[in-house]
Amino acid sequence: MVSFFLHRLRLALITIFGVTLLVFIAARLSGDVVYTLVDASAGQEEIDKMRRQLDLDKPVWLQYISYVGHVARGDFGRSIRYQRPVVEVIAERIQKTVQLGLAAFAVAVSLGISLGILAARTRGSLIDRAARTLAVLAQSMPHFWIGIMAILIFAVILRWLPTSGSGTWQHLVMPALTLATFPMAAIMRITRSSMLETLDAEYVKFLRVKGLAERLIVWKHALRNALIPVVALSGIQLGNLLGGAVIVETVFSWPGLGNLMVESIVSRDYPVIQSGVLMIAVFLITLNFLVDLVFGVIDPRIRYN
Amino acid sequence: MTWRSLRRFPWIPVLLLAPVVICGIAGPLLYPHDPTVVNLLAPRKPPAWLAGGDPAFLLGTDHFGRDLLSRLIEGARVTLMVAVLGVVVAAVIGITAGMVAGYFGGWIDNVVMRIVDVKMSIPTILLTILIGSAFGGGLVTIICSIIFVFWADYARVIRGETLSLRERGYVALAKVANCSHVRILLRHILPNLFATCMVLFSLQLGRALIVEAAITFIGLGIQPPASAWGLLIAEGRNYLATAWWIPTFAGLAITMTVLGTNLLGDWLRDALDPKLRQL
Repeated sequence: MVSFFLHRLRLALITIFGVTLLVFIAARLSGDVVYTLVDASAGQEEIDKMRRQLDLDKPVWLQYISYVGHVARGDFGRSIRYQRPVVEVIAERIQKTVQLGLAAFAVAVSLGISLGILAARTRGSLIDRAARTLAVLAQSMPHFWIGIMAILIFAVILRWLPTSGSGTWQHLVMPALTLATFPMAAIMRITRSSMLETLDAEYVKFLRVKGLAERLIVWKHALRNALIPVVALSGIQLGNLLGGAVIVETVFSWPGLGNLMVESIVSRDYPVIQSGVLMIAVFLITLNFLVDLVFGVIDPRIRYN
Repeated sequence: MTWRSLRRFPWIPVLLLAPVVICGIAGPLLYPHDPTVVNLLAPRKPPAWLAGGDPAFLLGTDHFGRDLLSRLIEGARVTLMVAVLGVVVAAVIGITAGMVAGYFGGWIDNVVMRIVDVKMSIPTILLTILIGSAFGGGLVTIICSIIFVFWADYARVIRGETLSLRERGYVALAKVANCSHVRILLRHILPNLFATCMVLFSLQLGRALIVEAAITFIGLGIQPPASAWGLLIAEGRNYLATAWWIPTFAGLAITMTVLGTNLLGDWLRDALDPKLRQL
């Protein structure tokens, strides 16, 4: 277990190192940061001074080390647009994204798993076919289009829900459902196929021969085993959800992190974009590391693989 | 052609994709109107079958009075070109990296897989935003993003397949026969990866179309006055209450194409190698 833990930790740390390198390269390619920090009227002397302050007169590899040093101390630089530390700007928006993400994740997991079980139990029936068709369709539509169509139908035509913004629970309905479509379809598909596989296993056949009620077989015995790949996939879907949130928040003007990132493209606020990507990546790497550990504890086969 | 082979033919995906491909190739010959001509006297005309519609503009006009159908046809060309180009380059890079990593193993494998890990740890849209922040918007950003996002999937899958292929008897024999590594990779391993590559290509094309539309939607991709489906949705979004047809038809075009490539990928997988279910 200890060697498994250390191996995974090493991989996670290498990945974090890679992400910082990637973000650093993107930051350097996006132009000379000095000109965004000094006044347009600044003289050469002032520019040189700023350059020295930011270590930009040093060799690139030293700049990278100094960058990592700053990041490790929680200093992500200043937002060009808001003229405040990036950490503050991002922290203000995180709560809204977490709220949206959790709502969407709850919908995706609960609906995806129940539909998947239903489809597996009624294999080949009309319900099964309808569920599978819907899943394929949901995975073929862009998020932002689903969102816009939802606004058209439920806000513009029917006037049931507000078009955009946040505040009441009504504001949360459309963005959460839109964001949930894609992971829900993926979870439904994997639940269905995993459930079918499990229901075909020898021990399930034995339970049937034994005369156990089908309800008990499905919910008590098969489901637990069938859910292992579903849980693994749900972890991956959480990452996709954060990516999808960027688009969905933009469509519904939901004031979260994703919306901030897109606004920052328009205002060329690169420090916010780059630090945002870095923070989200580190969060996801940590999350996946923890999920791996949990799986290593639950399922010893993974540990020795 | 027998009845059985007709039944097995992937009719639905082909029927969904054919109009898109024809529009992409023969675009300029099919425009009912010039898609770039602005007609401020006829802005936001509804589709021909609705009250106030004009039979000359089958799907209506956009906010500048341009014919929506012509813009959709023009968009097919740009959209397909970008997605196909991106996925092809990604495939070449990914297959090469995956084969080399799987075949040689050791530190090469380690380096490739760690780069794949880095890519996997950043959600796709955020990765494109990061690339956009480095290169600015436009075609370069979209194509770079698609390449960067999709090569890793190829590399991961192809590496896994190569790992098992290199243990086969015929590879050992080829080594005994003093074949070079390059020859073994190209003549003995690559042909066996064909099925996997085709299935991945088809499924990724659909994903690439969605990524492309999303990048364009947030303003980092194809810029106006060009026509691309993602752009039409972004533009039409501002006229949702008065001109619902602009985003609706553009979105339908994307959905139809992505559905077509997804179903084609599923069909290819079942036809070529049902074991590839995980892709």
